[in-house]
Amino acid sequence: MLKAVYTLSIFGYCVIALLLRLALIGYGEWQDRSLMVKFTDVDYKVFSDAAHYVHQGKSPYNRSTYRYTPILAFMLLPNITLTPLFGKVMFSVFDILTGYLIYLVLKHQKYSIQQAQMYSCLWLYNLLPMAVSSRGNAESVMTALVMICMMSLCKKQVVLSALLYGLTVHFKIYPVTYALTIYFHLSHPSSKTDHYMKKVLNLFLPNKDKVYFVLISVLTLVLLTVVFYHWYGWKFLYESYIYHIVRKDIRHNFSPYFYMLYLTAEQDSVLWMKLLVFLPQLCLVLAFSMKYYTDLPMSWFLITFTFVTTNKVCTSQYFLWYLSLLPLIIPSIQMSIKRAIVLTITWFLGQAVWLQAAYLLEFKGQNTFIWIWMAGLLFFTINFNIIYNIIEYYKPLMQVPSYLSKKRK
Amino acid sequence: MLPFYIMLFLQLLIPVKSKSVEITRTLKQEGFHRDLETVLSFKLEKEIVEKLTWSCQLLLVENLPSGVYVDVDQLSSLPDNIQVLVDSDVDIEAPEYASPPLLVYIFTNLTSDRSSITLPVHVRYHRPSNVSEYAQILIENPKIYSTCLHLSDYENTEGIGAPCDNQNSSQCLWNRLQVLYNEGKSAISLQVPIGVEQHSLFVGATTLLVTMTGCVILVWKIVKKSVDLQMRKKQL
Repeated sequence: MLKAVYTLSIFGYCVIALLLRLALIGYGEWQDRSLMVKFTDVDYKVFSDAAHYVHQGKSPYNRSTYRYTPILAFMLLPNITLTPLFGKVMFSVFDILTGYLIYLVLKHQKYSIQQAQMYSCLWLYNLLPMAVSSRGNAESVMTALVMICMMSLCKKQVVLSALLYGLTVHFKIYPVTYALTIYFHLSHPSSKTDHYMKKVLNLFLPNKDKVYFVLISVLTLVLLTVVFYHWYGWKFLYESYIYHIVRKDIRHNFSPYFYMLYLTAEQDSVLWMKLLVFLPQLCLVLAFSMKYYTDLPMSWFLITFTFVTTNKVCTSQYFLWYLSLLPLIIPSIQMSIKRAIVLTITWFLGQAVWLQAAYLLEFKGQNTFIWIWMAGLLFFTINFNIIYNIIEYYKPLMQVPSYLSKKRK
Repeated sequence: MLPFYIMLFLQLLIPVKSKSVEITRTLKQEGFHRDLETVLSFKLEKEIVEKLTWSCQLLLVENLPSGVYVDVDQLSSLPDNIQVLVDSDVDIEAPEYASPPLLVYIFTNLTSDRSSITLPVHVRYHRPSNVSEYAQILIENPKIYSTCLHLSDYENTEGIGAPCDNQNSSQCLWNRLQVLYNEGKSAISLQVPIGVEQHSLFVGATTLLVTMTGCVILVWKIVKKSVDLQMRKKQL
């Protein structure tokens, strides 16, 4: 029996993972009918309603709080014509696709088949993404898109990856932070004897691949935007792009900035404060892009992790963005099991402390703002400590040229 | 002849004694998510109670202050005999000082001499203060209307034109009912925690200090750290 499990191919793992998700969807149906607490995600109804409007030939934005691309509503049309469960099954399939792509990327990076399988199982059999996609949250579409995009970049398929990148950014804006690292990644490798300045210049100067990538991805994004703007007007632009950028939600969340932004919400003159909030995000994204551009999984993971941690609004749904990239980098992090476990426990503990303070505020009406704020800073520190340790113990299989650090021999 | 005039005179002096609906309002739960429960009790004769059907409609008009809101998506999953219509779009993220008050129409059917309606309401974030750690929100009592013939004893002289149902496609004439609120209170109040304004400087300075320090340490680490390669355990 054990041997049978051990000798399973990646397809076997994928099929079992899919069956588990289908079972969860079935369980969810039972819970929704029997218990007060609903299993299905609140957003699932929003997507379904939007698909309903599209089915009637109307705009998906007729549904209030639909803040996604119209493509998602099109994809969910079978929810109306076939079965309301279609979307959940589709999200689960995207979830499995994410796991399979993790396997492909790792194999492409010359890790053994056993290693690639093991780390992709970290995603396939992870309870968090399992629950998220079977509850009908669309986050797995995003993780799969990011992963396909990475796979095509690894395979040097510039045109395809540019098309996918444009589509990915259209779906959700956050991967726009990967732009610089992709641009650097497309540089021709410079020879070891090159002067330091020449190497840096080589990073920034355009070449054929870079020009193609920039043009095609921008064109894809513009084309999608123009078409949907033409169909659905201003409401599309506002709900699917602008809302996510100008969103000013002062309610409590994991961000270290939450209480500061709540207390200063009505002071318009604090431009320098906005800059100081934006600065760490900018500096770190730039630094990671330059340092780790040869290893896309590593740079994307660190960029996403810091971007989410230092964002003005941070909720647990965002954690999935970097957790999906985690299995890709684990094999190149050479830290002791003990250290890895301790870091993982601190990550959960940080959230537990924050959740406790937030619970007392939200459900008990106690004034715990100062505690939520301190828990937010603690969680921020914990996350930065994890990033620090990942950088410290990072040992990739492939050569990484160093532009930022002088090679010491 | 004389007694007749006296009778008429007396009748003009003493208004027709109509009955009042007794209303009890309670706020259940604590914190930002509350259940606003309204219990209406009528004193109806047994024969009338037996005649009550699904067509004996009641309308409660709630004037919610800007400090609270109702979540329209949540309202669609209330029990079947309660339908709700909100007069405007509700921004569930906006703070109290950037939100308008809400007019909420609650439609229900009277099937016995007692009716209980639970409306889930949520509290908005309020402006920070340096006076108190809590702000007080007052939710006024609702106005009660009906189109039901059996309740004519309770009718007040006023009537209003209001939507017939939560589809808001047609207007009906609703008769206002006489009410008697519990303990004569005109509103129910709740407390909401608010930010402490004196914290601003300390919180702002500490937050930025921590985030900037974290950023500097990481950038320093990235610059200093050279990337070593893994020892390949076996050749592939």
